[in-house]
This record gives sequence, C-alpha cells and structure tokens, in this order.
Amino acid sequence: MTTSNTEGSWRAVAVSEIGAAHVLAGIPCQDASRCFASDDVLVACVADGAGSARRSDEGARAAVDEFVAVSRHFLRSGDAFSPAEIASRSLEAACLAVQQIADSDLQDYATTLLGIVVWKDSLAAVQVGDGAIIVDGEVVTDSHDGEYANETKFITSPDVDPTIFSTCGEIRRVAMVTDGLENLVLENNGYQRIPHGPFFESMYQWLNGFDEPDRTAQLAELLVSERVRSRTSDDVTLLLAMR
Amino acid sequence: MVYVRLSQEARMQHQNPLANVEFAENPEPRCPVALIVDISGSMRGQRIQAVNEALQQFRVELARDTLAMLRAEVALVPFNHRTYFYDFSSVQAFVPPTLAAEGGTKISLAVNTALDLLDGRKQLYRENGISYFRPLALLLTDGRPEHDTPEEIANVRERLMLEEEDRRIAFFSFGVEGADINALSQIVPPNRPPRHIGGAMQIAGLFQWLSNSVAKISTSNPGDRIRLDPIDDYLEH
Repeated sequence: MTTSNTEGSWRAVAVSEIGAAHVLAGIPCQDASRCFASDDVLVACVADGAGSARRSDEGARAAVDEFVAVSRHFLRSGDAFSPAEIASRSLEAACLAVQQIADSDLQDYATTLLGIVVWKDSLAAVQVGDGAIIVDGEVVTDSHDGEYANETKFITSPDVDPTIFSTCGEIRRVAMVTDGLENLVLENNGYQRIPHGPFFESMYQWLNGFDEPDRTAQLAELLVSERVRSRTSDDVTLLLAMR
Repeated sequence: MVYVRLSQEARMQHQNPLANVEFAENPEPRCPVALIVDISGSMRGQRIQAVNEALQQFRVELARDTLAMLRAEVALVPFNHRTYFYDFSSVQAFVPPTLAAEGGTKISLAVNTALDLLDGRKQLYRENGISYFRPLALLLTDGRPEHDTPEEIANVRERLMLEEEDRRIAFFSFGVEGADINALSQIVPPNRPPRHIGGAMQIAGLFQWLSNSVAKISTSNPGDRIRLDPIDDYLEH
C-alpha cells in the first residue's frame, strides 16, 4: 500500500512477499503488513506467521488489520491517549482478534507482531517476536531473546510480553522488517544491530522521489528478486515511512 | 522484427530503480555439530571402515545443500582410552581423517571435550555477532566406559543433564552391537536414551539420518517446528 503525500506529511509503503521455501512447500505467504499515513498520523503493523502453524497466514493478516484499525479509531476519537497507550491497546486488540478467528487450536494461528503509532511528534513502537523496528537510523526494539536462530515469540502465547519503545521529537524516518529480511538490511557493529546505511539511503531516496504509481510493484519485485531469494528462504516484509 | 524476451532479473535491471540497492552482508547463522566417535580396538575392521566411509558421505551430503553447507560446522572427537579432537570447521574445510581403531574405552573425557569445544564455539559466535542454532552432539560407541571412574561418570552425566535441561544442546547416543546400553544410559540424559544399532551396515544409515537432520535444522526459519525423521527409516537395511 502506498500513500502519496503533501509537503511534510507522512508517506509510506509496505509489502510482504512469499519466500522460496514456502513456494516449494506449497504454503501461503505467512507475512502480512498494513499501514496508514496522513499529515500527522502514521500507523503501521507487520506480522510474521509461524512457519510451523497451519493457519498462521490468517493469524498474521487478522493481527495487522486489527492493529491498524484500532489505532486509527483511537486517533480519530480525539481522546487524549498517548501513542504508547494506543499501541499497547491495539496490540491487545490484535491478540483478541486472532483468538476470535481461531476456530481450532489458537497456536495454529501463531504470529509475531511489530507495530508503530506516530501522532505529531510522538512515536510508540511495540514488538512481540523477531523482526526489527528502525526509527531515524536506530534499531529501537531488539526482542530476539531466544538463544537460537530459529526461535521466536508469538502474540498467541499465554503471556504476551511486548517490548515497548516510545520517543518524542522530530521523527522523520521509520522502517520495519520481519526476520526474513533482517540479515539483508541490518548489520552487526560488534555491540548491536544497526541499519545498513547504503540500503536505507537508497530506499528513502526512492520513496522520496516523484510519486510513482507502481511503487508497491517495484518493492514487491525487489523482494522476490534473486538477490533477495539467494539470501533468505523465508517470507519477507518491508515497511518504509518518511516525512 | 525480433522480440527479445528478458528474464525477470534482466527486466528488473532495466526498469526498476531498486534493482541495484546495496544489501548488508552478514555472516550466516551457524549450526555446530560435534561427532564423538569410538575408535577403541573393538571397532577394528568393518566398523571403523564404515565410520570412515560414513564421515566422507556425511560431508558430501551436507555439501549438496547450499545453505546447510554455509551454516553447518563440524567437530570430530575420536576416542579410545585417550581423547583426540578436530576442532570446529566449516563443512567445506572439514576433511574427514581416516580413523584407525585400537585401545580401550573412556567415554567421559571424550564427551567433556566435545562439550568444551561446543562452549568455545558458541562463545566465538557471540563475540562475532553470529547467531546460531541449537548444537547437535552425537556419541557412537560399541563398548562400555571401562576407563572411567564412577565419579567421572557421575560428573559428565550431570553436565549433560544440565545442558539438555537448559536446551543448550541436543545429545544423541548410539550403541553399536556389543555396546553396554545400560552403562551408556547411566551417562546420557534420560530424555534421550541411547539407541541400539546393528553392526557396521547401519552406521552408514545413522550418518545419513544425521546429515539430513543437520540440513533440516540449519535451513529452518524462526517459528519453524523441526521434525527430525524417525531414525528407524534410516536403519532398515
């Protein structure tokens, strides 16, 4: 989804694409993403359904739809909720939404969730499970707390324990990735994971350029290209937003 | 008129402004595998020959899977009453030695050595920001711990149990025909009892199961539930 903009307002693009392993196994893309951008508001959510869960594609879809819908509802209502409150309530709503569609075992719908809510100069980010949220050049949540490379957390777990980050100031650039893309866009500087500068520079230049009607198609093409697929077999999601 | 049909990639090169964005280069996550192999006198003949062939085959099988080859790392700990070791290397750099069988059997030192090598490797991964999968260790013996003191056995048993409980390792043990399965059970974690396998014939199958399992683990993604194949499927020969 691409949103065009006027000067100073948010523009955003988010695309989820299926990974080669899922194409081979005949299972659907289990990543999902949704975003909304306007003058003062940016709401975005990405989710990565568990590879081992039968209907995690539906879980991921329901979670991102609910998160964005509920956040927008709060922002429209004019009540004085902070982005942090809105983000954590929207996460709760997303958990409930997944529980509601789960007609069988809830774990069949297991999914991660990464969400951001920006209102004017205030931002909140929530994260459950793998993936990364990047705000103005910094990875702000680092929730990979399992020891092993193939472990993660899900919003369908009995006690969801989100990482929450909030900040105020002139926020200009936000990005989110699911774990499928992490190794291609983040690097390790010996202490922590940081965004790979050249990648994000090019991406924001592209996003900032003249409005191209097929921006979503261009990003989708990149995400299924050989250059990406030679590096990851997983589903991949990228959200970019700037103002 | 000549139509030139461009491949998807070539089309992208021509038209998509994102065709040449620069991605981060990161080290692949690693999957360490420690092989603890009995080379005592009783392994002489067909058995040690089967192990040597299986090690070569193990390397070939892993090298077939591009991702597994980049990610799997192998250490080899041959033991009789002494313990020897080949520290971790990539599959590509892993050149299986030709093992010769002689001497007695001391299991605890070999297992401790393998666990030490694994700890060292994980430390190295952490220092270099490399993520990793849960390590695998495999013990293959046809004997009994004849040179181990009861205290050494109790200590290594406790260490293995802690490692398994904390999910620091997945430890599999196999007793080739003639092995003292009861004595082995006293060493290995109770949730993964030792497995009896027939003679030399089944050693090849065992290593096929192992290469298949390593490939499965090392190519998995977060949230995948890994189901290793039943080992029986590989031992029916």
